[in-house]
Amino acid sequence: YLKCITHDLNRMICSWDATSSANLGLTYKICYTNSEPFLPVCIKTEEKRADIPVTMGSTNIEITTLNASGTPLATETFVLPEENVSLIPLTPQILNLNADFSTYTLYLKWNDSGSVFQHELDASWQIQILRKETMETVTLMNYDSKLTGKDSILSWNWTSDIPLECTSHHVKIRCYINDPYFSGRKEWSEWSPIKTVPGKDTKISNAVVFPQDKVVLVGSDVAFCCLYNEGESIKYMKYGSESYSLLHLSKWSSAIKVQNVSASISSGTNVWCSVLPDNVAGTVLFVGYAPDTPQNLTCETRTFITITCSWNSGRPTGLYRQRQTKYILFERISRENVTCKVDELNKSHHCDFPVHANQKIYSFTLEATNPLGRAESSLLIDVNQRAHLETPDKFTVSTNSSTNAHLSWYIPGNFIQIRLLCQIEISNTNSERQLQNVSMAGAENANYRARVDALHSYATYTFRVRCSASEHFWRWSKWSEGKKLTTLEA
Amino acid sequence: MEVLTVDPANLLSPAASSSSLSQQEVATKIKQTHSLTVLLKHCSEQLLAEYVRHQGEPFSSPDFQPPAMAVPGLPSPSVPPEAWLALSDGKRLWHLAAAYAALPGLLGSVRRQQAELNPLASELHRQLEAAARQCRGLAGNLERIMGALGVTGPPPPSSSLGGPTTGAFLAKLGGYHVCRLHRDWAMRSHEALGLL
Amino acid sequence: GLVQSCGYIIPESPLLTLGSNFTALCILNESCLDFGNIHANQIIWKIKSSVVPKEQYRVINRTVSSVTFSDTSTLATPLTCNVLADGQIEQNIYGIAVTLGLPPEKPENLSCVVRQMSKNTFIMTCTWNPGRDTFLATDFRLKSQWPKETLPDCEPQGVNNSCEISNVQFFVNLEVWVEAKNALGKAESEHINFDPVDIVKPLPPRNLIVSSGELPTVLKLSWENQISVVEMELKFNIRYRISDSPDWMEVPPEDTASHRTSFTVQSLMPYTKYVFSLRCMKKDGLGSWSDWSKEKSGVTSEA
Repeated sequence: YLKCITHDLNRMICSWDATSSANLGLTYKICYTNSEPFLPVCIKTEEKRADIPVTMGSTNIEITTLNASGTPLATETFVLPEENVSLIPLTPQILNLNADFSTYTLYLKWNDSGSVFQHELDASWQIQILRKETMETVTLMNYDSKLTGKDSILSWNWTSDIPLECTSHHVKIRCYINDPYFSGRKEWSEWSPIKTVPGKDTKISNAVVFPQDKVVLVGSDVAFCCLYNEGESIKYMKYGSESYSLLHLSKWSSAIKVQNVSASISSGTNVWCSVLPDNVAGTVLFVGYAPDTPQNLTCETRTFITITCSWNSGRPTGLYRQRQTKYILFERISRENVTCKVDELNKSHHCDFPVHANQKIYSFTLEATNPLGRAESSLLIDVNQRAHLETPDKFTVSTNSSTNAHLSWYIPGNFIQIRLLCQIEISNTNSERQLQNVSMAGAENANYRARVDALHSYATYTFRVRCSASEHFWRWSKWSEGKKLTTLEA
Repeated sequence: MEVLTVDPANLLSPAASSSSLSQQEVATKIKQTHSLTVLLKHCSEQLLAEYVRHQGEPFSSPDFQPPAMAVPGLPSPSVPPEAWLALSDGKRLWHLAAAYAALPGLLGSVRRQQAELNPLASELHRQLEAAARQCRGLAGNLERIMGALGVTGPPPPSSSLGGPTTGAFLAKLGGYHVCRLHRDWAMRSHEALGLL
Repeated sequence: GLVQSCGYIIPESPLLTLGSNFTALCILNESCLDFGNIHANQIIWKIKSSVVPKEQYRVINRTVSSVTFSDTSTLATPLTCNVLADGQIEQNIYGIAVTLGLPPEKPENLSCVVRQMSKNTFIMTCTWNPGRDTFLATDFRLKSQWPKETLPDCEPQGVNNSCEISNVQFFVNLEVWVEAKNALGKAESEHINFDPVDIVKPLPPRNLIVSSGELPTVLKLSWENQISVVEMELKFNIRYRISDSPDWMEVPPEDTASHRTSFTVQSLMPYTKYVFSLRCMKKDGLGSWSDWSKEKSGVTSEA
């Protein structure tokens, strides 16, 4: 018989089986032509195979068996239609196989050897992942690509459902070329040599469980494996207090799969295995939530030196310390950002952002991130419309008359940009209360003064004052402390 | 709380009695230290219970008995009771001093780890801090008594629990063993001071 | 600067002990002498706006005049050096600020009390007499140490005569003393040494229950001690009165001198409503009595 295979649609390797019984010392002369008027091309070979070009249509092949002295023993002629030629791509080679243990992900890169073909072709690839000593197939994935006549590096990644440390993972690939214009048979290439990412289940120092200190969302499915040494064996493996059936991955590695995990306590849910003769190993799973959208985000300035944004963290994430929610306050116009220091044990937080000279409008975005996700809230403010002054301090009242009183108070902050509205509360001994508003120009870290007229002579009053922005009222400051005053006799 | 009667005469070797403490002061110091071990025993049991309560299963289940784990720097009270009783007062005190020289540092490490793992467990943090303080106090008292009895103390400890890279479970397990050894040594010290 | 000064005073800004003596020198610049035809004997020393008597001056030379105060108590800020020049116009040459004060006295009467705040919380408050006012910023520190371990300093908060330590350790002798320090000196109180367990004021017993017994002249009290028996054994004072009488009667102290959580009061009148209250302290009498517990009443059964 005669069998011809082409790897590149350009040349084919034909192999045959000689009819004569004696194989030693024989040589073969193969002559081929594909159609008139081409002259036959002959090749002498000692092997029962030859490399001849692929051309459209049929190829006529004549194979003559010669003995050691060159005397023809037999001649066979074949008409080889294209249909009888098999297109089997070259065995692909994996360039590299890397692993990111933290994300359980394998990264595969290989060369598609596109330069072997002169024209664009559709190629299909099969990627097989195997595990365990028994080389069990974990998955067989198809991947299509287009050969472009040039070599290109293809890459592909796969995320395992169990930690890569748990056992070795093996990968092999093969190729299939689908040339619509080639009428011969098309077959898968050979599997590539296997590439392996070794697990940690060989030669460990002490029994260990993977993954170590993983953080997952409530409701996730998580796999854990217990690795132990030669001479040890696993008794059981528990998630918290619940035992799970063991999946044996290798002589030194067993796994469990936990579904729909619920929120863990602050120090995490323990996952542990009891190992014979007398050992225990474990890990901790931190099960929580992604950050909630920061709620009730408000920003105001007390002194026009900094803007203080405050918010509520919303639903607790159940994650603490190095896994806690971190907050960054971005300001789009100035493109500045501030990392906020928050007390994770509190629900309400605040963060200060510097007031910039000549910037009125602030477009804030508060970003909350933790290992499980991120959320954000935004707020646009005009700082002049968000003045919430500090409590008036060093409040004094004095008089040198029977009908009026001089009030003075100090407010920290730079209010040069705005006018202030201050409210003076005057209450007498009959607890009658009267409010007087007074507007004044803002100043910087200044003492402010006001005069109250039309008081009764020789009467005792208690005064208090609070202030706010005059234009665009936002909030009153707190009331100052009360100060008593008795007007002079008339 | 038992009443402890101390007869210093049979404790002090002639060489020791010339030390800074008079016989009466030694007796008072031993009585005071015995009271401290009673307090320590009580608090160490509470600490172990409080500790396991915050680590989640299996720590919090009564039948959790992990294999003993050597804690670097901290001798374990592995001397069998009979052999312990057969030791001399000085030898027992030496063992106690070695343990209580190491325990404060270890309990401090556990407190730092628990501040990470259980930031909300303020009572656990308080107890860990109190335990370390009690151990430092006991170490000081033991040193005074041993000085008075002419017993040389152990070398300073080189102890610290695994750093942050040991993983949360090992941190919990290490902390569990420290708290358990703390309780075991408290019982031993209470017993030993009762014998003085 | 823009205006060149015509002299200066040394020392620049002295810190002086009240009651000590002090001499200052005013040194005129050569350049000014020629310009203003000034001499050191024209210098006039002033405290604020009042002239210092001339007897205290001494002209050292043409450019230097000194002034001496035998008692700095009369001094105040500013002390200025001035010159009468050009037709009797007084010209200020230079001025200095003077700070007066006293070194701290030895803090006296150091004493400490440990107050129980809750079941497991004790605060030790030490108080002392800080001594006279020093008129200077004076830093007080409560220092404490164990025989082989120095403990963190306690910094008084807003006062200078007391400090609170929260990490109290019973059954370990503590040495305590006060250090006072300011720019003029340092002083240290006597050291006191005690076991904190001997200076405790415990919380009063709580959850007092009064129950009548079979006998009409007897009422049984039971309560909960707030301090653990491993910390101290207690003795008690139990007082009681007939509910509508203001006069308290007291159970003989020797009857309640031992640690307990209950007591049966006898020799009461049948079918009578009594009000009870009790307090506790360390059994050996060291430390102080707790406050009285909340009162609780009970009625003896009928005869």
